[in-house]
Parts: sequence; C-alpha cells; structure tokens
Amino acid sequence: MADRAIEADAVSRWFGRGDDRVEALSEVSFAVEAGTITAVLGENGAGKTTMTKILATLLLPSSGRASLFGHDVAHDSGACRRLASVVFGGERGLYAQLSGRDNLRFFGMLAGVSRRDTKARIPELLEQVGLSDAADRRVETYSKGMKQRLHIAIGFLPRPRILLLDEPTVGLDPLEADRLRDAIAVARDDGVTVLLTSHNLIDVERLADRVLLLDRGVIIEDLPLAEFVQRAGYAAAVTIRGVGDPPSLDSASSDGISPVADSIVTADGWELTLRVLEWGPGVFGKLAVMLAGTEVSDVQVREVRLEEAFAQAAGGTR
Amino acid sequence: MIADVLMTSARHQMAMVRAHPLFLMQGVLMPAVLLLVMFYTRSRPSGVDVTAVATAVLLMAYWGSTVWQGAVILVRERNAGTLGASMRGVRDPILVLTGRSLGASLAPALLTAATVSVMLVALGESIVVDAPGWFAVGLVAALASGTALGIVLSSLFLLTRYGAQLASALLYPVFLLAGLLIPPDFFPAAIRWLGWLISLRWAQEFLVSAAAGAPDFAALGLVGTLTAAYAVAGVIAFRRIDTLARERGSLELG
Repeated sequence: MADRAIEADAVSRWFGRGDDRVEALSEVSFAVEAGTITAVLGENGAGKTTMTKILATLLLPSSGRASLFGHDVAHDSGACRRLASVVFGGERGLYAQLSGRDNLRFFGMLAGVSRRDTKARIPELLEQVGLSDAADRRVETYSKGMKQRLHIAIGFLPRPRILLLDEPTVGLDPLEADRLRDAIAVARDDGVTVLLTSHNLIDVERLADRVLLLDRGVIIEDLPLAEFVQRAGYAAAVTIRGVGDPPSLDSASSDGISPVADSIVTADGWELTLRVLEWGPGVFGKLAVMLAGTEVSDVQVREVRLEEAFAQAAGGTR
Repeated sequence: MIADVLMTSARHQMAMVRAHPLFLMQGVLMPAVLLLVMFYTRSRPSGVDVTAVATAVLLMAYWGSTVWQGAVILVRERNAGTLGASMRGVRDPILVLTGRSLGASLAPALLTAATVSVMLVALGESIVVDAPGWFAVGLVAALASGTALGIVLSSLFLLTRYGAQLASALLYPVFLLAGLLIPPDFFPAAIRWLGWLISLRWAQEFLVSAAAGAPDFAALGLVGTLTAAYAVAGVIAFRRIDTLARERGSLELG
C-alpha cells in the first residue's frame, strides 16, 4: 500500500451552539497518497478552507481524526507543522512594512528552518519565484502577483513534505500562474504531497492526480482526475456553424449525440453545440446524417472540460 | 535554539517598530517634551534628582512604547493576516511573542535613552549614578517587565474588541499611579494601592535608589515578582487565544 500522507477519518467541524450551530464539515473521510496532487473542489462555503485549516493545525476537528503521515493534527500538532506548509492565497498574510527578504527570514524561523539554511535558501527561492530584484523592497510596494509569489516562496522555504495550497494562482497573470504550476509539478516530482484548493480549474486540470468534490461539508466525489472529468456525462463537444436553415433538434439528435440547446441564430447564420457521449470513428458518419441538407461552414471539436464535469457533479449550479 | 528564536523575533519586531510612524514620536518627541516639562515647570533638579527625572522620563516613554507597540503586536498580526502563521509555526508561539515583545520594548527604549542623553547634554545636566552595576540591573529588570507586560496586554487586546480604547485608557493612569509624574502619596489611599501592582513604580524606586548608591532590593524584588505575575497572566491569556481559535473557532487568526 502506498504511503498515506494525509488521512481524514470521519472529520466533522461545526461552529456555534444550539440553533446557531453551523456544520462546516460532516463526517469527511479521504486519504491522499504521498507524492501526489489532490484537488479539493467545491463552491464557496462547501468546507474547503475549513478542511485546509484543520490539516494546517489552525482549527481542531469537532469530531473525527485527521493526520499527516500518521501524526494526529489535534494531538501532535508540532510534528504536523514540521511536515506541512500552508499557503493561503491573497494579499494578506505578509509583513507589508518589511522587505520580501525580511519576510522570508522571519517565516523561515517560524517554520523551524535554521538560520544558516534560511540564509542559503532565500536567494535560490527569490530567484525561483522571480523576486530577486525586489527582494529588498518593502512588500507594500509589491503588486498582487508579487505578493502571491512571495507567499509561495514562504511555503517552499522549509522544504515541506506536504503543501497545503489554498488558491495559489489567485492574482497571478497567466505566465506567472504557469510558472507556479511548473514549480508545484516539480515539487510533486520531488515527492511532495500537495492538497490544492482552487477555483481556477486550469490549476486542477494541469496538476491534479485526484479530485475531491465537497458539497455543503460532505464529500460527494473522490476520483482520479480522468474519471472525474467523465462525470460530465460526455466525452467531447462539437460546435457546428452554418448558413441557411439550421437543423431541427429532432434531426440533431442521434445515438450518443445530443444538442446542448436549440441552435443559435448568429449574424452569419446559425450555431449548434452537440455533446458526444463517446468519441469514435463512427461519430463523423452520424454527424453527416444529422446535418444532411444543411450548409455547414465550420466544425470544431474539443474534449470535455473539467468545469463541465464540475458543473455536472455539483448539480449544474455553475 | 531558544536564543535564536528570541533574537530573530526581536530583530523582526524592532524592524517593524522602526518602520512605524509612531517610533520617532515615542522615542524622540515624547521624551524630549517630557524632559523639558520636568525641568522647566518645577524647581530645577540637581544631582540625584536629575537621575530621578531622567529615569522617570525614560520609563514613561518606555511605557508608552509598550502600550502602543508591544501591546498591539497580536492585534496588528490579526489585521495583517499573519497571526495564523505565528500561531502555527514550528517554534513555540509564546517564545516568538516573547522575542517580539522584547523587540517592541527594546527599540524604543534604546532610542529614548539616546534622546534623554542628548537632551541632558544640551541642557548642561548629567546624571549621577553611585551604583552603576545595580542601576544597569534595574534597567534590565524594567525591560523584562515591559516585555512581560507586552505579552499579557497583547493577548488581552486580542481577546477584547476594545484594544485601542484600553491602550488609551492605560497610558496616563499608569504614569500617575506609578509615581512617574507626581509622587504616589498624592493619591487618596483608596486608589493608592493600585500603584503597587505596577512594576514600573518599583523599577523607578530601584533605579533612583541605585543612583543614590543605596539600592532598594525590596523594590527590585517587587519588580521581579510582578514581572513573573505578568508573564504567567500572559501565558494564560495566550493559551486562551489558542483555545478560542482552534477549539471554538470563534477567533479568526487571519
């Protein structure tokens, strides 16, 4: 059996008492294997941040047990803190009046990194996140993306075995976000276990090996990414554009192919999107039959997206 | 390792304090004005009295810094969103807070001492210290006491919504009750006892006695006892923060 980096066993967390009691997590159980990236998805208020805070030892579970490499987060928080770094996204969580280098120095001490190691690691990390030139500037002068990159450097500083990332690419431009994803992938290749919470589904698509879907404090899906994507209920989407009369919905439906909605009339003609249950050589033949008698100007095929699977799994609310 | 944590935390906080706009006001303006008031609104002191005035000014500016810098460490951490990181560090958060409280006290204390020295030279005065070793011990005791007060107040300010109001309310009553502005005997007996609970009062008595060459060890003992009591109260209050944050989830860490 693979080494389990993170385990949650019937973890519940509630806030308040009596009628005001709110259950943020309810009997949540899952396991994350070492050296993998697991994404936690869910709408706002689903319990993702509460789960991250429990694993980060910032919050105790009301019941149940959570552990990092076998160390209980409630009773052995010291060991857990040595194992895991947590990166919460956003502009807060830094000492704005101090320089990036000073921030790294202090957070390194908090994380238990020796002064010598901190000194040696800081230039390397600043280079890695592209902040070498701004290292001695006050953080209050940094852009949102630079602050986020500093957060990441702080998270990597103690060489954690587990990284808890909460919205790591928030505030980053596409190039920076890509660079960060590369850094996370490299960390995974080095054996670091990553639990990733992100609303940016590109992060999940590019990085995750497994997906946990939380809904109102309950895990409703726990699957490898590829299987999760199949939950969309179809394999690909075909967008067809044409001129003249659009095909009727009846004729646009076939075995394993169905329209998303009625065709849309555009300035140039019409547009129809079809979902293909299973992609195969026979699909083109079926499409030809369905579209017979119409004048097609363009056909685009794309694989199903994670966001479509997420929308489907979360009840189509997105 | 403990020394490393204390030193890094103290250095960090000293850098934070130096970057704060209140630093120059507390370390330069406030002691300079207080010194001028002390020298020119009463009969001009001489000899040991100059030392008494200088130490009173030093302790007043120091207390102001403790309230406005040390006591608000955790509140500022929460506002900046860094409290969670401090509370979940590998290093003991109490030790980190102790180092930071020390830094918050030390930076203004050094600047205040420099200001007082420059002002005395400018006024053509000099302090008389007959027992310099014990005088130094008194200064260290005052620094330790301010550090402990920083811990307890910092924790209390985080536990209440009224930290800023409490800080304002604590400033001048402590000056008065500690006998730094007027002798404690001026107060009615019914409230005079409150001054007994303020370590700065005993620190001032010890410093003045050491300057006169007859150290008052009872006063030094009271500084030590009160400092220990502050430290215990600080640890209890800090543990309470941990309980509220982690168990009850009723205190957001950032």
